Amino acid sequence: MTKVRTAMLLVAALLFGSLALAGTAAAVEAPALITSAGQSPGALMVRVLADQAGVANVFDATVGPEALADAKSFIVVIGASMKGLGAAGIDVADEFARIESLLETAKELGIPVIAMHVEGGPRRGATSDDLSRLVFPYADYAIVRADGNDDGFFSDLAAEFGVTLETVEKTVDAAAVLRTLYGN
Amino acid sequence: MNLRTPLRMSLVALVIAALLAVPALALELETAQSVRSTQGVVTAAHPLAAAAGAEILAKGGNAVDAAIATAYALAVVEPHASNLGGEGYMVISLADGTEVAIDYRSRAPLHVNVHTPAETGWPPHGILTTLIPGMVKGTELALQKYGTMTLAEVLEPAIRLAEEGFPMGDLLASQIADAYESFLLEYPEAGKVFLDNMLIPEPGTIFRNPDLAHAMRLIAEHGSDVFYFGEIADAIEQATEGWVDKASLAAYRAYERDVVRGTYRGYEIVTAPPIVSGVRVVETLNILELFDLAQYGHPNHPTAAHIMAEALKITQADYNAYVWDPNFYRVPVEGLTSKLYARERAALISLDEAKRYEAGDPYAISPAGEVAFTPATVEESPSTTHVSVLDKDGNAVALTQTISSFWGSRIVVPGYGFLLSNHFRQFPGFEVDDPFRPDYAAPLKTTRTVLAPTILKKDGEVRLVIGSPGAARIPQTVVQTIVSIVDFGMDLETAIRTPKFHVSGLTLNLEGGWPAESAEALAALGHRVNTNYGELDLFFGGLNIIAVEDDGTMIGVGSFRRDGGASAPLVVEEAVVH
Repeated sequence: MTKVRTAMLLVAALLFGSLALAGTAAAVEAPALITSAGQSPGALMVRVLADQAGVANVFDATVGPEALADAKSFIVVIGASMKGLGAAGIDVADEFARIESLLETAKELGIPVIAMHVEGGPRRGATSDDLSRLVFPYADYAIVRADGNDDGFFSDLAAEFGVTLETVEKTVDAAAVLRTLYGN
Repeated sequence: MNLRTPLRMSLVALVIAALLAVPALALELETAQSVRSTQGVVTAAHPLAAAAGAEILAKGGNAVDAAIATAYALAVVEPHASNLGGEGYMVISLADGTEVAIDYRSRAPLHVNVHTPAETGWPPHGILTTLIPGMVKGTELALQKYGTMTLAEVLEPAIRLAEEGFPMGDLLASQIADAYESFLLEYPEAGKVFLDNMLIPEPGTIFRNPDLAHAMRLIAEHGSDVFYFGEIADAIEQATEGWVDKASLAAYRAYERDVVRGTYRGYEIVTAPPIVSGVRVVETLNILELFDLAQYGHPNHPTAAHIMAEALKITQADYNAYVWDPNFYRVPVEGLTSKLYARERAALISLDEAKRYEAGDPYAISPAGEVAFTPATVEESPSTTHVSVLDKDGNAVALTQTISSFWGSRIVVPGYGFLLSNHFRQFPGFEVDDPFRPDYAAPLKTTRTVLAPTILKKDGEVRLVIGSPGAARIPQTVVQTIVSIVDFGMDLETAIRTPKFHVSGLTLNLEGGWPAESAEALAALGHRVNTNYGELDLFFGGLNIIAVEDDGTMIGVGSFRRDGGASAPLVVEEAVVH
């Protein structure tokens, strides 16, 4: 239901004006819980972008589902980094399980899910793509950098699972999309 | 990538050329992964840095001038690997026969003692990991003694790069990504310099460092005094909260040292002395000279690789035991590099079995010394960068410089845009039961590292200028490449591309591309073979080499394992239009 509501709001936003315009009705509400799916530095960049967009947020790259109790939206930043996983002491299977439990909890709580992939082509790879396949079925909205979608991977996932997809040319442009999405 | 960079002639030169009504010489550079030239060549870890050196050659500078221009340019375009707050070692071979090494290793501040490292707790980076930088003093010493240009002239390309910027490549962007969290949360000054609006810069972003340009302009105008005594010294002291204080900076010296010499199958080897690892390159080649490696046809043949690996393990044991700061200890260079000692050490090698080795006794050949100590672990710089230069007159420089880890201490000196190294963490803790270890911290002492800038000559003429980054892989990669060229007759590019190994104890790490049958045969000899590496893997170093063909043509090849490049001046005759 949340996904349908979010999609309708976004369609409305698109019909009545550009997403880039300030003042559009918020599709989702803050505070957002931001986490990483894969422990790449992209999640921390999204926290910076959220701050720049004025989106109240809690950032925790390794958070568990209990943290969703205080959130009104959930941003999952996809990007697998073996260095990052190693530094966090998490193996790949555990990371998939953590993300899945978060997504299931968000679904149970009716919290909208925003999937983000902001590191472009260099952060595509088998593990990152598998994480994307895990996240998109739960996502209401997705923001991806265009050079990570050269092969249409995210477009195809979005179409398959009815996710509203916004592509940005540069990572920094994602702040404007977040600003609009949150009505700031 | 193939850039052809027009070099502006001065207006005066153009006017003079026009007045004389003769064909003018328009200078251009050819910059690529690999170049051929008779006008001199520079190779470095970034094509723009190589081009900075070639620009100096084109302007009439010699190899020393060009090497220093390249070194400073690397601080701009490859800031994570070396910087003004770091250090290095330079081997110079001049056409007049002069051969000298410049030691500008970083050294411990005056206030430290043997107990200090334990008190700091060996953080991976931060203020307590910094040492007194050597790069500015060392490059100035080399320039004053062996260069032909002023600091202002040789720094001009680097200053221009820092001011005007350059498109950031994938490698630098990925290195920033690796350090992103710490730049954002722990080291805001580094974040200010290297992040783009607090985000990881995207490849292709124009990266500028005006603060570094400012620092280099000050050095160009005032020399090293501004760095070790003046306003930059003040800033370093402040940035390190007094850890690298002005008294320590004022006490810093760079050293001219005798090169280490050897021979290998008719080539003369000129390399860097202790505390870096040129001595190990010579000792290893001395051992290998006792084996007919050529009969195996290829360096990836299992027997050839086994012999090289065993030789490198033997010399690692000697290096660990005997190569310490020569300002504090008498290092048995004569023994370690003697053919007699090599014969004794080579006799330990079995063609049927991979073995472990203890240090030998080079003091039986060297004059009596007083140091022989093998630490339990040897932590070495994992970062570093290398520059090779050969000018048209036959002057050569092999220069390797570093800030220890990638990004060093992560301390950027505010307002001056350069990083300080994190070498201090390599000093061990003091042990009461072992009070005279040569690796303890002391004022103005340096840590051990494995730089191996090396020049090979034949009949007095430079034939190879070689070196690599890559920590413990440096001497191993350098030796394997020399063997590939000398024993197996490989051309330079093939020698660089040939898959390398890295041996440590019984573990033998093989770069991607090794024949499976070789890996199996090496495992059968008792090597613990690890094939978990890609082809042309950064782990195995980043060779930047120049070779000279029999007709005098110079071939420069920048590293395939990094964003390396080579650059050479071109001389193109063109008509003058009146």
